[in-house]
Amino acid sequence: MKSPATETVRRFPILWLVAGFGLWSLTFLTLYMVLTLGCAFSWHMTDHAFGLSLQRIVLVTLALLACIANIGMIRLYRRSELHERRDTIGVAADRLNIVALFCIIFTFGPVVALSPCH
Amino acid sequence: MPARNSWIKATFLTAGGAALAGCAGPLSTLDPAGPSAGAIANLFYVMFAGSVILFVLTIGLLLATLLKPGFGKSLSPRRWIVWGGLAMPVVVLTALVIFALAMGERLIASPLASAPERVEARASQWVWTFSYPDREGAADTISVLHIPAGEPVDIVITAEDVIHSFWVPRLGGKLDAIPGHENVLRLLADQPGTYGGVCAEFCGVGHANMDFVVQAHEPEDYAATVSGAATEASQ
Ligand SMILES: [Cu+2]
Repeated sequence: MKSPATETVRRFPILWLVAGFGLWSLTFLTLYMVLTLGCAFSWHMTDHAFGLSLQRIVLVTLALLACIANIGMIRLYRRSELHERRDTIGVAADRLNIVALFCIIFTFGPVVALSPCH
Repeated sequence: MPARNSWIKATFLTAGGAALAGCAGPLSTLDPAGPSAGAIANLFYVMFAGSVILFVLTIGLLLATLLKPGFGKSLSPRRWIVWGGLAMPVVVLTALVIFALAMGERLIASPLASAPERVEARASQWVWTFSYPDREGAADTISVLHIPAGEPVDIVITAEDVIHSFWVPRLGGKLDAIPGHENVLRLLADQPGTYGGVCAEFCGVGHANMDFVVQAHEPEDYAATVSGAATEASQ
């Protein structure tokens, strides 16, 4: 399988360096956008399952998806040629993707408990 | 060098005086007059203390290495990086984030058992207009916001033209005034008095002069004042 994405990464292996934090930024933008939309449409006023609002369910799901995507990214990277080489960029990319996972948990974890709307 | 000493002294006196003068006055966030502003002032002091601790630790270690060659050799460089560069800032910053989030939760206007008094604040270039929907017959007031003291008041904030921001530093945080959208800010003034307010979002050439005052009254005076404003306006 040779998707355009894997082909791009093969040609520009340095993309692995920004992959984790790129995902962090994308998650930040998405959560910010969905949070605003949800507040505008009063998703936080709804009661779905177990007393959880639609707003909470959507935000937590998105944060979890970001975690899973990041873990998948780390595992995918560890099977790549760049990681095999074990040069500076290769090791840095691996560590940065792990740091990004901590940042995703730290920054977006509070969506579990904080008030979603003003 | 006496000349240089007097310069240093003058600089410290001016800076110290300016810093202290900033703690008082009608627009001072460090002179809170209600619980929201109090929480924000506490947050400032805790953040400030956290930054002082980190600053003293970092500069202290730096000075120690400069003044005492060989300082810190008993710890391996890896340990210095992990404990000093990772563990310490993570612990301090995590504590500050948790405190900030807890304070933020307290500022949110969540529903109360008895609905607070509602007042509307409408921003336009470049004036604030306040109306009192809970008080029948009360006229709008311009650049003066009347509220009862000692009880929460919900300020429903909106704008007519561009984005402005409603800010009464001694009573609470700022909240944007957005056309076509209502934001609710809960304020509580502990004591009757006059508190300064400003527009806190640049909104055009008149922005700097777009200020107002909040007059907090004893609850019974509040009702009289707001209906009095009606008669004043009708004259
Ligand atoms: Cu303005």
